[in-house]
Amino acid sequence: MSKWSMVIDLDKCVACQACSIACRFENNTPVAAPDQAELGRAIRWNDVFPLPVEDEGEYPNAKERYMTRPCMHCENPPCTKVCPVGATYQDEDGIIRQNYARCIGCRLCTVGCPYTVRYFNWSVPDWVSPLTEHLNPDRVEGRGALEGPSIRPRGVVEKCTYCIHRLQKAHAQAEAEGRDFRSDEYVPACVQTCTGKARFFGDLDDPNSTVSQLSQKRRAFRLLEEAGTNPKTIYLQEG
Amino acid sequence: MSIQQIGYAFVNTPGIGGIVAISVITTAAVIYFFLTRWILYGNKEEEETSRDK
Amino acid sequence: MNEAWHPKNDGEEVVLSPIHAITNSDLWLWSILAAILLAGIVSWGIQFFVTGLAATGLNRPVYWGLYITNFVFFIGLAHSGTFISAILRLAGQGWRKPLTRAAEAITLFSLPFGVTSILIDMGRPDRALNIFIYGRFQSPLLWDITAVSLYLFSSVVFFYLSLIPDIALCRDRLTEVPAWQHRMYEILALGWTGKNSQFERLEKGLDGMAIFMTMLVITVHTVVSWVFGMTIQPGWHTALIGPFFLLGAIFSGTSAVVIVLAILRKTYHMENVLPISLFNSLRKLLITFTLGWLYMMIAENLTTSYGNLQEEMRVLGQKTGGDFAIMFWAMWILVFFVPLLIFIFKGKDSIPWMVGATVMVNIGMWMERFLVIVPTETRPRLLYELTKGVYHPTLIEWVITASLFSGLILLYAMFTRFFPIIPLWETADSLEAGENEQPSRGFHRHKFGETVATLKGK
Repeated sequence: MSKWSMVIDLDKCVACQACSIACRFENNTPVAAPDQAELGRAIRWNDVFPLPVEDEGEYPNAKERYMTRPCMHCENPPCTKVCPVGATYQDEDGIIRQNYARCIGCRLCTVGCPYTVRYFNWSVPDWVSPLTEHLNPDRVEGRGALEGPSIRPRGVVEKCTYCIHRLQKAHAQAEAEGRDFRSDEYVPACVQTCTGKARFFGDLDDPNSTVSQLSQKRRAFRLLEEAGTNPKTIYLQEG
Repeated sequence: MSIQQIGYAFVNTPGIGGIVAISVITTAAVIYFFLTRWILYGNKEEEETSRDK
Repeated sequence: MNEAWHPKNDGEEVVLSPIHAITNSDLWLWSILAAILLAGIVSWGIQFFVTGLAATGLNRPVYWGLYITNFVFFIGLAHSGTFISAILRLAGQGWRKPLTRAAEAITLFSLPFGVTSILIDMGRPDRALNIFIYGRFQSPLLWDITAVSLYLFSSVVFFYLSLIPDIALCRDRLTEVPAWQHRMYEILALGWTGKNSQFERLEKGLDGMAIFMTMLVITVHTVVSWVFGMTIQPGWHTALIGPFFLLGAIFSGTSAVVIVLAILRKTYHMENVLPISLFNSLRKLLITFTLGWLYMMIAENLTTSYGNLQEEMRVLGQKTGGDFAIMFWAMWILVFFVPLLIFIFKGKDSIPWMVGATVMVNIGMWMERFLVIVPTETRPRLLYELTKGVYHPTLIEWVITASLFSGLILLYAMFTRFFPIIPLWETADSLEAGENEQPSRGFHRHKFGETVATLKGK
């Protein structure tokens, strides 16, 4: 059992949005038409956005700040608590997962999440032509379960899963090779792709892992710490 | 298993909530059935006494 | 079928008269209401089969809008009946008797539309059964399902039990109605004979149920509010939300009773059966509720603004001076200022004033439900500058909302043409009738029993 965690060093983040793009392709996130995006219906499991800056300054001394935000994978998640059917749940590794096959679309979890990282499929997922041929074939399926990058139906909630299918693949490979699974065998797509090497991923329970050590740094903070959710996505402050 | 664990399993396990909801409704249905019957016909002993009169 | 004994009631002819004739204007009203209802059903069909919830104005972060507002409002409206017939029954308020059924009928017909609202709001209503198959009791939605369905079920029973003697009366008196209608009375009367002991047990049974219904009525609306209160969102996460919802529910429910009574009195010429004193009694209650609403409003908003927590203040600011300012202050006028003035200075002995005020209260209470739900969503805790929520309900949402209201009115209007809307046995001159003690006559026992008993009765 592990406690998967992500550390994002905002000092190294260059806001290139590569993580967002990698996430979209890895997880088959549907594309929102411009009018839908305008309405606030775009689905971005991993969002990169500018932060408001008090004194923006003038060129060439302009100040800009960016933030990148996957799911927090809280240790005390407000979303799984309220799910009436157990469609969203915390698995034994602490990952907050979402079962599209069971979700009834009541959106109690989406209004319960203080980070608004949960997304609803307002319409049938759709891609424009060249994209449809290049969807990620990975599926996380089981009895009555449909998760991860699997194509979701309309009317269900979806969210970042720390690329749960990659974890399952890594486990399967270790098993096929007849050896123990090592926690450095698995990273989500956003971590793998990060151009500034600002993202770190690993097991928070392992005191020697990079994330454990980074999480001890003085720069480490979590979003909305006062909400008591205890996120496992940890940030390192700029500065 | 401690009380806490049992309590948590009770509220957290999918399916148990449905059983609770259904059994509450079913219990109510049974009670209301007997209540209606009692209002209309009374219970046996009462009937006998009223017949004796 | 032998005739049952019925207590003597002078208003019998007046109360039964609406059942005799369905007029042309009735048919017109019903068809208009049915047309609106149909439009709503078609709209919902489009939403379900074609567009999905994309047809609404909902978005991220405003995930809940008109549909959930309707849900809360209809459940609130449903508190009218239980309040009048259960709580006032326990309090021994005899004046409530003529209006119990009219009030309970509001409960009965508005609850199903509350439940429907949830289904309409769901992304996957086809998976509604998952709630029972995989239900987790930790979720406030399960509490809702349990409480609301028990409440609906109990209301039906409570309503039906007190209706039985009057159905038996219809069965015995209204012999000229169409055969199917008479058959319906025969079946629904369950072989009621009107024995003294039956009336005694009925009174006892209703008294007992009234205690249970009172507990339920408090539970249900508190639980409805907990769907919001159990999250940690600013504006929702407060212990006051339960009592506030409850008070609002009784307030809008009692107001609805005034409206319904006035309409019944006018259209069915029930001036003598529904005396103006009823309105005066309700007026006193309504003054109390208006002031109670003020108390809750101050308690909530003063706590929020004095505490001055940033995220709470953003939500409050949305109401007092932000996107919802017009609605917020209009609500204050509609729910509090004008109705209170009317109730105190104009409402006495004046039905038009009372109706005007209570209509305002109900419009205002609908707005209040909206204002509890939406402003919180428009100002999420995290980075509200970026995810500022805007919500513009679409036509399809308004059509469905309108259809729910016309469905309620349609069911109500039709009900009054088939059943006596004033409880004749409860308002009868006396239940202790001497002529009840007639020589024994045999009568057939209804399906619950198998034997033919010889019992006292007429």
